Amino acid sequence: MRPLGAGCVMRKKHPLRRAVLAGAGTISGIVLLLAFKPATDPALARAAGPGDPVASADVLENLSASGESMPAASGNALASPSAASVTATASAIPEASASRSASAVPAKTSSALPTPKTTSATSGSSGGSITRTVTGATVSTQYGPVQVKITLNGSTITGAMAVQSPSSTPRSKEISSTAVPQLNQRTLAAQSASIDSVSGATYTSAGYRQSLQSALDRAGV
Amino acid sequence: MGTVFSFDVRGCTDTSRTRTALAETVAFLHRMDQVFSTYREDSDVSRLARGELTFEGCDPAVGEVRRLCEEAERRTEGWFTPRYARSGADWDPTGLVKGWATERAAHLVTETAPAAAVCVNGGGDIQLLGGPWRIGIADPLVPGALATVVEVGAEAQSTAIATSGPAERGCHILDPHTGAPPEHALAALTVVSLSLTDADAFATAAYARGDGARAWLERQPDTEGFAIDADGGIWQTSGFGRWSAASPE
Repeated sequence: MRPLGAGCVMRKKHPLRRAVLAGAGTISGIVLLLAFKPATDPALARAAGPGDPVASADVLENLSASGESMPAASGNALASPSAASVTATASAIPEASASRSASAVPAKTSSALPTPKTTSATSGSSGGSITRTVTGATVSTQYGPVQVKITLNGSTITGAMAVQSPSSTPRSKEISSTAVPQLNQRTLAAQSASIDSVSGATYTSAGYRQSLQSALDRAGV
Repeated sequence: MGTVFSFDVRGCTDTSRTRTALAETVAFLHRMDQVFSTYREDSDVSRLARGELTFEGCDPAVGEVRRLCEEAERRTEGWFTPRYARSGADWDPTGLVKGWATERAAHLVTETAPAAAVCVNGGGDIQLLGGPWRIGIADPLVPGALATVVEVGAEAQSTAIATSGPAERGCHILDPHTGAPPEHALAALTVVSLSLTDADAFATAAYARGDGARAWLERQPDTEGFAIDADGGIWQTSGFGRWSAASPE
């Protein structure tokens, strides 16, 4: 368990969580089962049609954890004792230790395998805050690949953008041009609302959410 | 496309044990995918559909899910059914099995390693054990916005949240009585319950039923519903308010 730094930013609405976190580790992980049908309601469903690929990948997993069992090589951002987030989940765990592909994964998986990246990490001059960017896994959607990058100051998300968004067809482009900026805003809105998770039946945004969720998991916020 | 499972385990006193628990849980989800996926030709469900297997020859989980489907069909007054044939299959439990698997996954994690609270999000349907949690309900009309927030207290033991709707894909839920998409204009319907097995099947059934589902949801114990129609109109069951926090900005 990393010590809580002076610049620690906690979610104010969860005093109990704070107590819990002070004494225990937090683990989060993300698992992508691409062969599971995406729709929530297939018992009454019809297949989504040819645009619903069986999968470009079979399984994508990224389990990460904070605490003593963390690999040491988790990047300079997390190596700092004053890193702000207590729920830090290793944004840059070496893939070999943290991302495991199931044995049955077909060769196609490579397109969707996460490549954890911490693209920058610079120490702030005061308050112990750290600015860093974390890139989520590339997620295949019906409309094309989606990948999200977030910028954090400590554990506060200060920016979010899609580094990859669907643009292969006019329709995809249209969706990307309208949905992605709104999704970016939503990331920030969700941050301000201290949302732990999101329930919904959306589709394109599901890809964004998957990538965003993986970025959040890696960033430990 | 597929489903993402996202885990958040809080208050784990033994991190390495929790990692083991997560690994075992993930293995369970893969096994269930292999058994239930209608997108795998070699899954038990696919082989069942082709007549290569009987129910007795399937993985034991199939029998459990079959019983749960029958119960859900009864409780939803037939609005949820695994027998509504999609692509020729006689038995398709997928409207319930993801919720069931997600719920099982949450319990597997805590049974293997003690934790204060667990959140498992299986493709937008969420099983929570413990609390506190704040769960956003996506606004189906405004991509990126939240329609409301479900607030789960620290004292909560088990809470499940499932959302059904056509979203951006066009309608994929059919009225089991007509075989056509429902005629109502609900854009999304969320069910909050104790068990995600129930919530998933109930959200599917309630969406298929449309506005008529409101009265039915009111009658279900420990179950609340929240719906948004295509014009942005909202209805919710009388007890939903105890869950909803102030909407985000």
